[in-house]
Amino acid sequence: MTVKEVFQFIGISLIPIAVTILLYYGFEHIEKRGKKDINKLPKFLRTEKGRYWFRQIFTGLILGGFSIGLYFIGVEVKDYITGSSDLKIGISTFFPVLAGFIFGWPSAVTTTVIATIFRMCTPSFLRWPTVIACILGGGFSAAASHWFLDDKRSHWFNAFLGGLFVEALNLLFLFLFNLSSISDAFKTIRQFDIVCLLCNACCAAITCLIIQIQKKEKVIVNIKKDKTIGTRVQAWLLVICFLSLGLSTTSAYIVSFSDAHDNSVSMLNHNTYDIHNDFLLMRSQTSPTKCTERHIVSESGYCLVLTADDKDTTLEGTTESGTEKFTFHGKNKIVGIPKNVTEKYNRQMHDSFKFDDGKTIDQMPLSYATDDFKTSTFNFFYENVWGESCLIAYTKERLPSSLGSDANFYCLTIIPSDEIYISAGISFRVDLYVLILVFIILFALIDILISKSILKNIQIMDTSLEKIMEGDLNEEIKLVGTYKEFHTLSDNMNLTVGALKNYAAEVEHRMEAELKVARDIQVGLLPTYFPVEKEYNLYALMNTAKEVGGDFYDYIKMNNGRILILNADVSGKGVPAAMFMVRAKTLFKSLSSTLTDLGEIVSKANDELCQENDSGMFVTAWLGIFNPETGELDYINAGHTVPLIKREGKFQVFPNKHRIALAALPGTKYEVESTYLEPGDELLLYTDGVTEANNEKGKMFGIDKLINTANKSNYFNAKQLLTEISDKIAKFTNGVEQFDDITMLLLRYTGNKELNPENTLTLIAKPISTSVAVNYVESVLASRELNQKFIARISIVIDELFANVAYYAYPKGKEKDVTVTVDTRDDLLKIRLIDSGIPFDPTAKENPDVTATIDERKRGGLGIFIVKNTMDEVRYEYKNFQNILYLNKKINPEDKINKNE
Amino acid sequence: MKINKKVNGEKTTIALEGRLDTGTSPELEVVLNAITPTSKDLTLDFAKLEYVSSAGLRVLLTAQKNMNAHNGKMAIVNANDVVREVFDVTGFASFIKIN
Repeated sequence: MTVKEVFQFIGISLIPIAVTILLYYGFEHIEKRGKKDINKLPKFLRTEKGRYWFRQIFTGLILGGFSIGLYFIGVEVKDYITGSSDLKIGISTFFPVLAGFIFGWPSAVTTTVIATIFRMCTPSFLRWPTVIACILGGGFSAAASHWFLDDKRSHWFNAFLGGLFVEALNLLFLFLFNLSSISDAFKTIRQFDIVCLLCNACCAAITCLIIQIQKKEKVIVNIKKDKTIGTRVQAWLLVICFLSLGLSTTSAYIVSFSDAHDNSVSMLNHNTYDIHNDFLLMRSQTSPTKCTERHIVSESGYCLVLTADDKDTTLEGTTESGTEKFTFHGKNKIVGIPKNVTEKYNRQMHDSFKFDDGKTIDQMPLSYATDDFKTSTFNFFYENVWGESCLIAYTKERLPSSLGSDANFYCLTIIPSDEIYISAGISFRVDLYVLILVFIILFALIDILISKSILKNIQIMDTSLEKIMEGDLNEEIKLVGTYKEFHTLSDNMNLTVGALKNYAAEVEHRMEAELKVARDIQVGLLPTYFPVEKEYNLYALMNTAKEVGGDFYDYIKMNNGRILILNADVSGKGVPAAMFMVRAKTLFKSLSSTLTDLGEIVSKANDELCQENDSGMFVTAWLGIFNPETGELDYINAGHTVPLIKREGKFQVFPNKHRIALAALPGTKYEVESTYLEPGDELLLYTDGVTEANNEKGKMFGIDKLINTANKSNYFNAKQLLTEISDKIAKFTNGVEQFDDITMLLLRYTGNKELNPENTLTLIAKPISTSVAVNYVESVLASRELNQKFIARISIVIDELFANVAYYAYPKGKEKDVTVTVDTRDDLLKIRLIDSGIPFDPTAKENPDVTATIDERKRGGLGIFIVKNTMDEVRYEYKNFQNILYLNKKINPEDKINKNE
Repeated sequence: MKINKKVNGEKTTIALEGRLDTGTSPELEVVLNAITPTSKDLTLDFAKLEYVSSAGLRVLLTAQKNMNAHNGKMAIVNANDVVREVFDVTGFASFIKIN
């Protein structure tokens, strides 16, 4: 092929690229339209399946059609087999490849069928090999598209290999189908085979590349960045394949060509030697000599006749066309055999012979053979003779001087390079095609093995292991393929995971069992027997969370007959919290056996808990000591939830000061607050597990719901109320796992004795009665051996409050009763002032500013202020249309009459 | 309550006996209202007074104000603990002199 023809061929190759790309984007457009408004498409294109098959068949038909069309515009080359020079070489066999690599296997099959049928009708020796190559190539690309590419568009590199493969197959069949005239077939094929191979491969690659670039896909893999096994293996495999291909073809080329060369040189030398001998024989005879026949018409085609003098020499020899006579002219001349002979069988030249480039033998790099022929070396060179490259062997003869001449002349034998190298060339070509096929198959197979089985399985394993790592021990690794190793691996991995699962379950089971024991011990420490006394009863309830927590409650009967109740929550969870809880609980128990003051007990407990508390735990607690006789209640809230108190039949928040949690700050002095429980009052302690119990929406139970639940309940004992609250919480959380212990304690104060009616005085609420009331209270207190000072203080209180009622409770002239009750039992002074006047809470009055100067002083508030200062507790209630004032004061020893005085 | 009034020159001494409370304060008020606008030196002897309630305090406050109006001297003497306590608690001790 000339350069022009090569370009012509490349030009033709652009046609399938253009056609394929046009088709591809045409169908892209249809897809887009389909997405936009499917109803605008023809009916058969409205389903995805319809569009797929239309695309496949349509592209198959179009590409098949082009495959036919391109046959007629191929580049013309010489056909050595038939001798014609209009053999058309195109790339029609290539269309099935494009169809398969760009569109899919049905398209490839369609194209193949069309191309094959057409090819069967074409003449030329290319027909059958092309048909077979078409079928195999189309089949190959369809199969590759379906199995190797998973019906996806190919990467340009795969398309390159595919194109190479199909063309190599085609060329190989060209040889195989023309074994009888293999040298002519070779001469024909070598004109176009390399161009065809490269054009086919590049054409496929470029088509894919254009689409890939337009789609902004990854075109070149950066092996340094892409560290996947697949890419690495592919890259190395490619390098190895190309190296092997290069090495084996190069070495085959070198070996076979140098062998052919050596054989030819040695054959020529033999011939030259034979001729030399003939020449000597001829020269030894004086008369004109007839050369031996074989030297002229040798079948192997190497012959030479020489004359040494200027006489004409006539030779007679046999050619295929019969016996011919040749005449040699001139001295020292080698006379050429007429062209009609040499063309086919013989070559001969003398020193006037001119090579194709115009050089004569003298101008060629020849050297004299110095000695006798037997010892002289033969020389050779390549030169163009009669339009083709030939290998020429020669020796320079020197005529013996006895012959009367010192003339020298050359003896040459010649053979065309084609004839030397034809078999080497054929075997090299065939080798090349076969190696291309083998390496591409090898590449594809290894790639398939690695990416389809090994990598896919690794990926499956990776995905499964990730799930397992995330804790899904039920994940089963299911590897694909029939490889025994993978099956063993997946079986073993599944077994391992199974074992792990069992082990985890076992550990969890054991942990659970141990935690349950810990839980049981912890819960066992809490009192489960609850006292029901005349004056009070209490009940506590704890719903433990799955994880061991640090909630606890306790009640302790102290030596002085008082009851310590507590409800606490240790920070954190698990065994440490449980152990800290035990520590705290034991501490309170032991401290309350020796100490009586709550403040002291709590402060001491705090100091103890602060020691050796490296883990920084703390305890929130609500502790109270109450006197069942009197209802007096001392309490401390150390960072705990605010309890509820039931007064006047309603649960409400019991406001108390928040102190710092226990074990948080050593040396803290906990101040005691106190109140008095009236008969019928109840106190509900609870931990944050109650109010912070949350449902599936993350909403918390909250204190309002707790108050509502408690107030709506018609409970008749403590246990019932707590159970009801607990049920309500369970209903609220609706199965959401409980994260914190839920602990509640209810103290119901029933009171043991009614106030002594003997100490009750009912008067009409008139200012004039004030002194009567005061006198009455004084007389009661005096009878209780209380000293004057104490009585005076209480008298002020009565004076203030009674006057208050007398002036304000009733409208003038409509005054009604006011009742004063005094009780001093158990060293507690309890005074009740009850009237049925208009509701009025004197305790709500703002305290006066006692630092104000005389001129800033305002009227009012002084009286109730004095009362509040005197009494321990002043509480107002409006109940049953009655204003009730509860006045409580502890009677200390110094308040009594000192009998020693 | 008994109110004993002694006048010695410019100096007036009023001794109270009993309780100074809601019922008795108006009596004292009447007595003091007569004296305080003019008296230069008033002494209230609480030796026999049991206690003072807020009504009493009000009367004393008015008296002190009246005395202050013409720079008269007023003092309480012989008050018991309970009375002192009330004066302290209410802050009256800061403007009524208690000896």
